[in-house]
Amino acid sequence: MDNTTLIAFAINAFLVQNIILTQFLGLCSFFGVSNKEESALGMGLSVLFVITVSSVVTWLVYNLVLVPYDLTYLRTIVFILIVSALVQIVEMFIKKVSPILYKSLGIYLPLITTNCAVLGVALLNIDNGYDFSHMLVFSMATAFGYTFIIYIFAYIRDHLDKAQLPRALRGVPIALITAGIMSLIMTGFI
Amino acid sequence: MSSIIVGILLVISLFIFFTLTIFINKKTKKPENFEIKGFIGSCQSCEQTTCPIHPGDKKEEN
Repeated sequence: MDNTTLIAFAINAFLVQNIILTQFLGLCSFFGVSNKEESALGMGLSVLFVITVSSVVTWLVYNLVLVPYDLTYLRTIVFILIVSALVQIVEMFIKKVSPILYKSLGIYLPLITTNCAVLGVALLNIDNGYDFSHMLVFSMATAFGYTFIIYIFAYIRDHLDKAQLPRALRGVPIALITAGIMSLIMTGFI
Repeated sequence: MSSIIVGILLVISLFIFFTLTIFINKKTKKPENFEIKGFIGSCQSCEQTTCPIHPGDKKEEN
């Protein structure tokens, strides 16, 4: 497959089939950590790392262990354990390197474990039958798409907090309306 | 038969690895409360009485 096709494949995963706004995965952290731009960027980068590494590990385990031994029915529990262990490692790393980010992410950092976007990407790689290069491009593009959208959403929410809004719309209601409009925009690509 | 043994070993080893990471994570020292000089830009418009990022800090009076 040539580079142009691979780039088109990456753009498709990044924008057209965006994990949040088109496939509606990872919405918990999308709403929970998008209050501040710094937190959103930190969360996005953490998810980027976890999705990329977990996709590589799960793909290797699936194709090198589960398929040869006819154990594909174990994939869900195996993938969950791999993702959980990786999240613990990321948490340790952030705790050491950036205490501010650790405090601002709060409970949402261990909750990456239950972020369905991470498990969703690992399972999509298997279900779509990607080879290693496609799996890597798809995982990274999807994770970048997650980071991009959560950062844009945090930027919009930051400005909406300063806007003069009716009392009933302040906070979560206007965030949900904004997310709905953003999702509608994404349907234009399909 | 061998595939079942491999499956059991795989799940048990992954579970042990996961438990080990939790154990090491718990041992890792939590960051202490730290002071920040002044307020960062995003704090300027904050109306919350208790800071979620720095619970010990209070907004300075101008």
